[in-house]
Amino acid sequence: MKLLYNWLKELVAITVSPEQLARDLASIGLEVEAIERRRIPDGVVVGEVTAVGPHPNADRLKICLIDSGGPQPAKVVCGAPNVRPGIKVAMASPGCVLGPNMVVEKVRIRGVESAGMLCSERELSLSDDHSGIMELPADSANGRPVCEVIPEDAVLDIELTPNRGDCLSVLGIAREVAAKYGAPLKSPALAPEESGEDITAYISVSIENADACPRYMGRLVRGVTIAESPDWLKQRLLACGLRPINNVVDVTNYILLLFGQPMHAFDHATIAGRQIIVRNAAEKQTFVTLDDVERTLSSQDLLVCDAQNAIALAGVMGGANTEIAEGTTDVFLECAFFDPVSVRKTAKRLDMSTDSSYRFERGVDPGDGLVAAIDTAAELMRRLAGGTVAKGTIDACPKPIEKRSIALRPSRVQRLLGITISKDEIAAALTGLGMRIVDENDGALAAEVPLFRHDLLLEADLVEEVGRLYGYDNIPAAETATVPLVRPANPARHVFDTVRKALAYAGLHEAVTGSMTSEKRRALLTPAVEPVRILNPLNPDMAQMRTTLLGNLLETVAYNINRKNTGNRFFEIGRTFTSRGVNELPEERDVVAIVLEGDYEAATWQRKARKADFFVLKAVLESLAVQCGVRQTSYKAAKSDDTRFAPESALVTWNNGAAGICGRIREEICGVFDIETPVYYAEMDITPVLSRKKDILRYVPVSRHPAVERDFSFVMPENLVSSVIMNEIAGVSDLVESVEPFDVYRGDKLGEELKSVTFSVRLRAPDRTLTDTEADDVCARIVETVKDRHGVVLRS
Amino acid sequence: MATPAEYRTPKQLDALEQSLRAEMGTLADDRAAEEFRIKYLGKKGLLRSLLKGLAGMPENERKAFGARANRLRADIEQEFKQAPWRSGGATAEHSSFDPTLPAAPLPIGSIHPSVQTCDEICDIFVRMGFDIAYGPDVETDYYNFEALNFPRHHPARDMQDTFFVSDSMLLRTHTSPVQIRVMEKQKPPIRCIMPGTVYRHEEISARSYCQFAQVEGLYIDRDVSMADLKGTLLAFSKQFFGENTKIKIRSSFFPFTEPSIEVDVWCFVCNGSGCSVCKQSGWLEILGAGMVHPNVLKAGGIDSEEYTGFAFGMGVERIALMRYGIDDIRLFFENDVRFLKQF
Ligand SMILES: [Zn+2]
Repeated sequence: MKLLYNWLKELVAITVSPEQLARDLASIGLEVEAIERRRIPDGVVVGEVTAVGPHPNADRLKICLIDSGGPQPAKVVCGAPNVRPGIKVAMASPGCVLGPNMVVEKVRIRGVESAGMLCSERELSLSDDHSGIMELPADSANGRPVCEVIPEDAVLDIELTPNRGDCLSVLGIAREVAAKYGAPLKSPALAPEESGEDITAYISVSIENADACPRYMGRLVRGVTIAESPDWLKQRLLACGLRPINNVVDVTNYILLLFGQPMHAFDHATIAGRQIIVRNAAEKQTFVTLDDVERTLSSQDLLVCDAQNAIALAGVMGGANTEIAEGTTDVFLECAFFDPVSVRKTAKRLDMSTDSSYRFERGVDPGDGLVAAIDTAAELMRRLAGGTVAKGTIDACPKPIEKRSIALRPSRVQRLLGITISKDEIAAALTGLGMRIVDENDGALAAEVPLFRHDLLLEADLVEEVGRLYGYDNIPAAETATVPLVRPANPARHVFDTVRKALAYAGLHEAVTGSMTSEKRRALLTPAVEPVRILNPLNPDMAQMRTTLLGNLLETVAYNINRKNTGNRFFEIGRTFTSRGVNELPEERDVVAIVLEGDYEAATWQRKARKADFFVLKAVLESLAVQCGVRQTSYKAAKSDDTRFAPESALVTWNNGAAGICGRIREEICGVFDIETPVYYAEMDITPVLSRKKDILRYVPVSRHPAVERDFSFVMPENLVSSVIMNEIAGVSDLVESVEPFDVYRGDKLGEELKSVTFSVRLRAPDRTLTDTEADDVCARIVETVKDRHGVVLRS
Repeated sequence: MATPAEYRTPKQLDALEQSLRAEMGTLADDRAAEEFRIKYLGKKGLLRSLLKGLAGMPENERKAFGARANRLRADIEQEFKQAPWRSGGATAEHSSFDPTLPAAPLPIGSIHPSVQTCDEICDIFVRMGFDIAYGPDVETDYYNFEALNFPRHHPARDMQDTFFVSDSMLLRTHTSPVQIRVMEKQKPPIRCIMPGTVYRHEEISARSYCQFAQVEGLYIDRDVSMADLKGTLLAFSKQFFGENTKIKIRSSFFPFTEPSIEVDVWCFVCNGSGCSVCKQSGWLEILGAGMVHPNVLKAGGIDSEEYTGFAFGMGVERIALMRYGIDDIRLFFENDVRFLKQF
């Protein structure tokens, strides 16, 4: 909301600068986003247009003679549509600085020299109006600096929180400022000079929905002349971002800015039956609002109607049918309190947000403020548009809103704020904010809350009022806290922390990507998973929650390949989502995803590059497992029902629990991301495994005796995985300390579907040096067992 | 000198390996090393000749022996090449040792800057005795709004533009729903920090992203006051931003706290003298906080007469942006490795 500093000063006498005011407002909860200083630059003077003639070379330009107090009139070229003899304007002379990049110079415009420039309001930074040049009051003396005619001002742009509907006006801010500085508040209300018959002779009001319209007031101003508003009024509206329309509409907008009370002016002659009925719309009823848009309403929407038609969408916008027009003479002024929820529902459903609905949604003053607003509006209209104010006010109040009284214990203030503050100080703070204090017997205060404070409901709300005026910076900071000795550690956090460090140490970069993805992407990567869909996505690419991190990491790889970043190694710890239907929250898993593309280790002067492949990925996972304290891992060739992976992939178990899947991503999928090189990817769901209670680790004595190493080359069918033989060998005798495959050979000599795997077996006894006989015996049993169980023999 | 024929069993190869290593250890200069090379590793050296003595050995034994012998030769060759004495040491005139060549790097990774920031924030609170708790990203309207005292048709809901999954489900707009989930599970005293991803229905730009990380804090006990909140946040700020940090508190509004405050931290970039990061104000808007609203305590099953508490929340990326002088929040989600590597 835009607040004019000088306007505020009319209501509360302050001496602080706009900047200091902004800081003080921020401290009590009214944040000032920006301060715009408004000062007419030196060198801009009042000029009177004495003559206007055509420009010889341009139809749209005119040559004007300007009397700016000097001996000779100045000849100025001007293109504004409103330039005409007799008006007073702001003329900037050569050398005058209008802005950072704007210095007025003596220039030739289409061949005619111009001795200065006639300024619009925008050129003087007074408003955004650039439709014509600014016209100054007729009594301004020629040659007088304009900065003396339009005094210096500042516009404070205040960002209000949604609880403070009462501050959406000059008066509302003035109340806060008066409370903050302890200064008296001057009421801006005017008492109307009434004459003629009572208003009830001209119009009647009835309310059918009292919940949605607890109070409706009306006044009648007869015999007005519709015209432009005076300059001071137009300037205030423009400075606050409103467009002047005519004297009647401008007065209602002025009241909106001053009191925060939305008003509506109807042309009384167009109100059928001289009757106002406030009632709900019929379902599917249509109504053309002031902006000439036909709206389809629901039975929830509240309407202001005459005897025949709807004439306003209550609290949101008036209708085109009763709009103030040039020939309007009698004006019916509406000033009401519409229910915030009702107005909000209608505004939301019709996707309309007006200055009026914005204020009603946040709650206007249903009490004295309403009366002051309509009285002031009627009187101001009488003064500016002529005519007479009919006697009396219509005040339909089917559901009076009672003032609340809230009990406040001083001990509660002390306890919540952590300060020592007396009952009197508390009472003074609340009184300053317009509350009435009633002392109660048990030591608590009872504060009667003014009707414009819809946000004050509970004791805690009053504590805040005391706190913000006391000043939060005056509250001491506690230095100690009593906390339990120890609390259980969160296992998930420990896992994330460990994984993150392990993978960063394994050379991977952590990525953070978005949780939303497209239907197309999800169908490609996880066609069988039921996704969580978003009803109002930002765009189709973010229409649902991801079911895998693969898409995100492929995108990350592609992004980096496009930027010539080679050797891509990333991981992400992130969530995947699977729908459990509309009535249950989805399943969310924290998964660890790893992606490798290109060189895992780059080539150097010493060695060749180590390209990412399945076994590099496995090495990363093995390292991760060790860092996570996992004692057992296994890899089983994955059945190809996971559509993401090529056959070269495996299911991973940790400590005999399912931990994830790893392998090469299918080329077609990489192709969708424009990646032509092989991509290796793992997606691990390890929190369940790692959150299980750990076995207590027991130490195994280290043998002091030498080991015997023997190698065995077995010829095995391709479909027999080496871990089977390793386990077999390890099971032959306690003397087998380790089994490691170290060579795999395939070739014509072996025959099709066969491979030769050489296992290096280390034998050792804990308590003695093995004899040759013992070792030979174990070796013979190894050969025999493998042959018996698997029909696999040594390579001859 | 040993001949190939002496080696016929794996055990003999073990012995040979041991003696070769011992001999390598005694080599004192380049000449001795060269002799060692010719004797064992040259074309006619022992290690290349071992396989020649295998005639007559059964086929299967020969294969296994051969593999073992080849491995031994490769190992010894490798060790001989890399051994430091082979350079002849610092005294040698024609040294081939060039320590200025780059080391082949171990792969070096990194932890994402916003995650690092989040971790650091959490660690400070963990040291103050806060637990860590997590909650779901997809939440019910109840936990995200209703229980946090956002009435259904209140303009306060406009403060947080929301992605909806259904009438009653949405992507959480803040980590505050975890407060309620924690209160439901645990009796006071509660001292908890709740990090997580939150979502806002906002167009993506340099200054805003539709999802970001937030850290929520909650402390509920008997007689917790605004002074405790201030003390906690001041202690945090000093740890995180530096010992000389000051904080400033403004009144504010959040439906789930009453009183509500906004906390500004003394700009650590310019030390309060004004810079582009703090928009010349000398202060940075860091977090929102307040005393837990009685309605929220009630929703969490806690008696607001017996217990009071404070809560606070801060945006992780916002803090990381200021901290590292990053001007575009989208960088955090693009994952360009040249960006990630810097942290
Ligand atoms: Zn700064």
